[in-house]
Amino acid sequence: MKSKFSKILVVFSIIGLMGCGKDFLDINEDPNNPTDVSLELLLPSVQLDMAGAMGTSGGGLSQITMSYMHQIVQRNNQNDYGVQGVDFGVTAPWLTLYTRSLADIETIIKKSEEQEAYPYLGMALAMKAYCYSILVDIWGDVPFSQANKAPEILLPVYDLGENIYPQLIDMLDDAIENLEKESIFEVEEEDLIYGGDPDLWIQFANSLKLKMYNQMREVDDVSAEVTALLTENNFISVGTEDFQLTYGTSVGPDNRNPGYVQEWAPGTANYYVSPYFYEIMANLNTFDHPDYGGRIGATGVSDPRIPYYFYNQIAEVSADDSPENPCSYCYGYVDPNTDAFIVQVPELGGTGMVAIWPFSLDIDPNEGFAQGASQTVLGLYPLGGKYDDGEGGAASFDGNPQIPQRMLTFYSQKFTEAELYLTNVATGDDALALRDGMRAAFAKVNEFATIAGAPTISTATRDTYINAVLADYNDPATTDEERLEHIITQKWIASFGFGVDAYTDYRRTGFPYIFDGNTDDLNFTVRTKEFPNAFPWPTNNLASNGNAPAQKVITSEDAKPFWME
Amino acid sequence: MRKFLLVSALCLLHFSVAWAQERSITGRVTATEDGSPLPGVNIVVKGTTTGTVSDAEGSYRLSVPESATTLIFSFIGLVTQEVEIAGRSVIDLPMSQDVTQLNEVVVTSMNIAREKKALGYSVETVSGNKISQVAEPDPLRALTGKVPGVNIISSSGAPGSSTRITIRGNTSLLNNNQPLFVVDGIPYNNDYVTTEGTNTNTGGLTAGGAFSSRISDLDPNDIKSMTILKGANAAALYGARAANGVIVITTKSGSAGASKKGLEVTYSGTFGIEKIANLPNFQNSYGTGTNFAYAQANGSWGAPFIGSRPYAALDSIPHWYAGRPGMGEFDGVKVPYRAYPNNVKDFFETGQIFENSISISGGNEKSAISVTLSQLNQTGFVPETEFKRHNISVGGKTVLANGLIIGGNLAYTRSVQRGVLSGAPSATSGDPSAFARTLYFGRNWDVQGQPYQNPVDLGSEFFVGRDQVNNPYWAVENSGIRSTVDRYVAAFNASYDIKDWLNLTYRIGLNGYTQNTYEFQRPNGAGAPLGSITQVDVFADEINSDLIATVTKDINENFSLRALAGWNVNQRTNNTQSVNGVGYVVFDIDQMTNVNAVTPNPNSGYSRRRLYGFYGDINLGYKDWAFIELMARNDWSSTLPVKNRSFFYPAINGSIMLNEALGMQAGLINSIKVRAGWASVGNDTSPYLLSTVFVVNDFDNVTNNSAGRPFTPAGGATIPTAGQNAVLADPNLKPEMTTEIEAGFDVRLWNDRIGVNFTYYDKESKDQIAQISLPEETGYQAQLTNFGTVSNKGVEIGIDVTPIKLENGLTWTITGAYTRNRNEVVSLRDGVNEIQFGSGFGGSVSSVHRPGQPYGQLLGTVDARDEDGNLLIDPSNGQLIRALDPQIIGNPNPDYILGITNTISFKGFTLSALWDLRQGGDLFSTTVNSMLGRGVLAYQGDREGNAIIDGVYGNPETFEPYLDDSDNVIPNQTMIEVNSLYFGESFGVNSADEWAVFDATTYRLREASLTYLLPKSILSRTPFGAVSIGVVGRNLWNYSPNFPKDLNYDPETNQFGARNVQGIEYSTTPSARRFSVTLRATF
Repeated sequence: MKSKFSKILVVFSIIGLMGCGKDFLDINEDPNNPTDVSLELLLPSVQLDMAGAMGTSGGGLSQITMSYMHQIVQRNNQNDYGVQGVDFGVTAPWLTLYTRSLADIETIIKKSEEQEAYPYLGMALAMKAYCYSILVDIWGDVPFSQANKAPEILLPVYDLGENIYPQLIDMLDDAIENLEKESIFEVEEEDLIYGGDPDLWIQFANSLKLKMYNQMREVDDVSAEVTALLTENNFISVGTEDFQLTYGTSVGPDNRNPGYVQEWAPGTANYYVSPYFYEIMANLNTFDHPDYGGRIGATGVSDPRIPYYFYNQIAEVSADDSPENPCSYCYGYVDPNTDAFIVQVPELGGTGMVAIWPFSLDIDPNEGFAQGASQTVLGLYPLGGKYDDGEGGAASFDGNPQIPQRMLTFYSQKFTEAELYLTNVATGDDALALRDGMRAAFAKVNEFATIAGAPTISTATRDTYINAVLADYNDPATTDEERLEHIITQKWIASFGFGVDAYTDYRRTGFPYIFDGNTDDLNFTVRTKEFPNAFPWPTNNLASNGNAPAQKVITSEDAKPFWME
Repeated sequence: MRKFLLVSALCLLHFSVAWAQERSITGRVTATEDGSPLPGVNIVVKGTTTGTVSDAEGSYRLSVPESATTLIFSFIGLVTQEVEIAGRSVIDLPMSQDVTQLNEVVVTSMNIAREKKALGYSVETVSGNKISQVAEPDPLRALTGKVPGVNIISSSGAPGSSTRITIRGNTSLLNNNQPLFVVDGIPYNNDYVTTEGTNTNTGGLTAGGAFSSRISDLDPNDIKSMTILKGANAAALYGARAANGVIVITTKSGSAGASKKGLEVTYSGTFGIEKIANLPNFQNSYGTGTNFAYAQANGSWGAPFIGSRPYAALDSIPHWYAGRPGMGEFDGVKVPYRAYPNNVKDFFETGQIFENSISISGGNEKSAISVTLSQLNQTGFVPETEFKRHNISVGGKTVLANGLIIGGNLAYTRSVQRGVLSGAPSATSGDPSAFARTLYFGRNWDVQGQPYQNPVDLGSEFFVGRDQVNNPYWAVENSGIRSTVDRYVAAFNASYDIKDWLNLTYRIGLNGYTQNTYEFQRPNGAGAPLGSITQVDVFADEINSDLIATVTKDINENFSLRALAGWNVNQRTNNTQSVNGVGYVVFDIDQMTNVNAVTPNPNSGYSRRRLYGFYGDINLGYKDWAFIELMARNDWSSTLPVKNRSFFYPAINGSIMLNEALGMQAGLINSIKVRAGWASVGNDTSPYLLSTVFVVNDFDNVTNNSAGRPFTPAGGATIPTAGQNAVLADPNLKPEMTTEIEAGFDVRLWNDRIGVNFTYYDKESKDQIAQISLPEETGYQAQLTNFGTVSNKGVEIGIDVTPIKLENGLTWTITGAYTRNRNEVVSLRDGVNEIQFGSGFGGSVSSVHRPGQPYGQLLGTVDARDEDGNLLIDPSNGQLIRALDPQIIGNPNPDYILGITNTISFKGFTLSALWDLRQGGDLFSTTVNSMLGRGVLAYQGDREGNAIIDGVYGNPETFEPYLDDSDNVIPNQTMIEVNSLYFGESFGVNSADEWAVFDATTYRLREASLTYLLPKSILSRTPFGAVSIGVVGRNLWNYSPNFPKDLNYDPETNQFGARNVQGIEYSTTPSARRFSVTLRATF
């Protein structure tokens, strides 16, 4: 009996303790994810995130800024400058830049310093400077000195924009220095922007410096620095050297231009073309207001870039082919109540332009209606849609999804030079720089047209337009203020698809003339809010950071970035 | 129930018998209800320790001293009776059940049966019959309103959809808050797997399928009882996961026992129908459009129908599909402009439930076996929704010749779910949900009379364009969710009495499932124009073993001891593989082989965790009326850093039967028990959280603005990428700790006609391991670390009253369950004022934790007000002014929950009704918001006039009120159309989120049933032992006074299923009303 007890007891004990060896609990190494990765894996990730954060999709900075700059209209708050710190267009770019691009940039900087991987270090520093310059331009004061230092610093302070900018210039010098160094590290196609070419990166760094000096010119004397840079003249010098990211065509994983993915899904476009932007390019003025369009109206020439910018899903609005619902900005529509064709905007003739008004949210009687199958959508140039051959047809993922996201371009370099010459920060031929800028802008359109297999704009057509602008520019009766307006307006038109710098330029210079819902002749466009001097900070980050300032009133003096007068 | 008690009692009661041979009394003890013999009844001579126990036939023989005058008959669960001997030598006694729950045996920690009076904490038991009787395929929902302290909310009326249960509030800020389920001693995984992955407690949603949670694999027919251990005290021995309470489920197959008949067969069959519980009252005067003019729009604000208004003139409109590609036959066609009053109602079908179950149990004193076979077939009231469950459970045990008891059980369940995509922000475009417009169809839409599929591209055709939403008929057929789960449970146990006071038990079990889930959208619909499939395969299992030594000893006359020591080993493994496919090749093949591109899903991965622990429990009883219990456990977890791996947590509780302690005579007061306890429970965390990682080829779809990875530039080679994870790890994590104090009393009065249980608890969880939001400028979105304290304080009251109990058998009982919990996020971390979680789905509303406020507040946009709370009105348009910053707009936690069940029984008939009231708790509802905005409700038919929003004029720039010359605010006098009250910056579509928040107070007749137990006299000549037939109605009526009228809205819903995000609804599937008939027979 006794032995039976012990036998059972032993069996119980053995099975009870079974499997509890010494290493029983040492199984907590993550089998799924690495804790360290190589530089060549990090670099492309940084670039994809950065381009996305700048871009035209709902989570990119261009979304709200293009709206503010009246290039596009959307049916939501920003239609009336009413952006809040919870809006996706505010929170998403901040998140992407800080937790993805800049976080990985910091890892690259740390690893490449250890490994003496100078090309990676140079590129990372250049991109860091670029990202922070945009953060300052959009938000004013942002975390910089204590950012991306977790876990040591969990509540970073916000630095003044004016203190950040000079450090970025130094950072660009540091970047150039590293890019010039010899290294056993070779960067190739994992650099999605420049294929690893350090010379192109140095050109980009110089162009970025010039752009930043130009933005500071109203608050700082930057003549010496600008002149030195211009003398060295090592800038982005042709459109193929632009700081831009060319997308892919794969849908799984989705490598397409994120703006294209959003806007060219069948019938689901979020963006309407701003009638104001369209009318300036088409040389119309249906608002019957002399100020609209500013100096550009004086040229009297329709812009040949229109079919590259906008795509009409309806070839020509007519009694036979009208929008699916009453529309607010189109030639006309068939009224389902009476079957009559109602002419809405006679000046549009039979064009297929179908859009809505800015400043009309909840007021425009026709605004509540779907126009998914008939609205004009953003075309080839801004986000990789289709060239408008005038035949119509529904947008249905049949565009050019690889079209790049532009960030810093040759044309903007030239327009910046023109501005610096005109304002006597440096000495040079402003009209020539303006001409080159416009030529570069047309060349950019033609570059994309070639990718898409679309017809290109002929030099003659281009020059007709450019000469008309230059004629007014060079007219002795034209003031320097009006000349600056020409430069910025051309930059604004060329920028379509990248709204960030246009928003900055407007706040600096007051140009281009933008639409005002209160002074047009339309009774359903009412502007109730002032123009925002900056984006509100993302609300959730203010709440989780005890060192963050209180949210600012975005229309106040305090909200102005330091470079605003 | 009694059988269970008998079996339990045999293992439990130990007593000594003294023989004083004077004279002999014999007799038979039987049950009052059916005259069956009662074995195991304790019979003692009053004032002595002389006694005996009745045998299997209920018979007894007892020698008593001549001086003896009275016998005491007692048995757990039966009313103790004192019988005068009065010279008799034969005393037969019918004994009746004791409604005094205090004497009942409950299954507590580690599956140990215990007398309720020895427990210093609140425990609730629900019998299996109550769960399987109510025609509710989800065993959790069947508990609703019946147990104080428990909050149960279902996600939707879709078959198989998940249910969320919390006990005594939410304790964990961001991790699991649901109780631990233990089935037959083995933890039962209640994962909630969606196409986003497993248990994403804080995540957003994909296309919003109503997925099931894994407790639905459990067959209600096999449940013998459910015991709810509410507090940390009751749960201390289960270890870490018990901090949220434990639901201990005993199955028939897992507790096979000897039957008095040798073989007993129980059949149960249910047939039920279900319908949508509520439909709004619609207006049928105006069709789609705006400003009394027709247009092909979503809102029914257009021209009046002929006859509804004197001026109505429009009698026909162009066909909705005119001009659409592939639909040429409609070009130029005109259709009548008229109302289709039933276009919503006719979309819904009548669902059906078929459930069949047969249980076989039998055996003798040595061996027993129990088998349950069940099948459930449920189709929902939404087309193409279905839930099927097949279950086989086998269990048995035997006593070997050497006294070793061994047992085992096996259960296999297959659950199959078909669902539709539901829930979506109706304001955004490209919405694939089957409910995107369904409850607010345009009043002139001939939904049932028009095709829903394009003959050319097979895509959706609807009254508004494909760019906005899918035709719901197309959506239910060509998109949806599918899930197949194979659940397997295997357990073995052995038990041996080394001494009569020392028992050794070993139990090991495997509980695992494989789940194949996918969500698909065929091409040319609204959500995924190219067509998409997301597939998730989960392989999960848990192995758990316990070795327990139990001591049961009466130290002397006054003191009894019951103690145990145990050793627990646990391993959990999960392997989830998930892929996304984009681009259908053939329209209707929903397989990964039929797509153009397949990419891995970031939620994929393998994880394993292990834990072992020692635990002990000492319960000391004094004179059977005072008890004190000490418990403690030490765990070692693989998931914590080596230095913090071991953690210890003790608990103590006690109870006193005051009436016995004070020697009170039975009279008005039958019993009073006072109890109190303090407990702590430690908790570990998930595996692999100690180091910050990089994610390879990560596509963070939250930011929605970056291209996917790996990246292949046009014409280039594929480039892999990696990026830092957004969560910062903490290598020094320490275990989190929950402590709880509870105190209460149980009183039984007036001959057991009135009983009251009262419990107060105060629970605090600190050093929680959770992701705390970091400001993104740190480089991370969150840090996983220890922080924060959450407090839950509450009161639970259970009442039972028997107002009528007549000789002829008429009995009326009322039971009530009251639950009131106040929770507060006491602190987060210094410098952190808020944690947001669970936003998403395109909506701006999110859940937040803020220090000093209740758990999971709703944060959303609001309109500006002046200091006195007057709404500011924009003078330019007479509408509201959106304030700059979002604010707290609602608290989803209910103030209290009250359930009252009335039961009347008479001669075999039992009529029962459960009413419940859920007071307070806010719901953000886009369904309500959309119905208002679309102008479809009956009261909105009265719209030919103007309105003025109550408020004062304000400056939309400064958000200050305008003041008149005497510095007074200026009341709004700007007239707007009634239409504008529901569209724009007012109260409907596009309005601030605050206007879509409603107080979800709901009165409900949750269930009503009538059962009839056939009399024995009829059955005596049949093979049947008992036959009952019952009719049950569920969710028969509900009323939510704070929702707009004509909505008939049922707020008992939750978009986020079994997650922590509560009080948010995006056009989800409405709730169901169900009627069923159940036949139950034993033979």
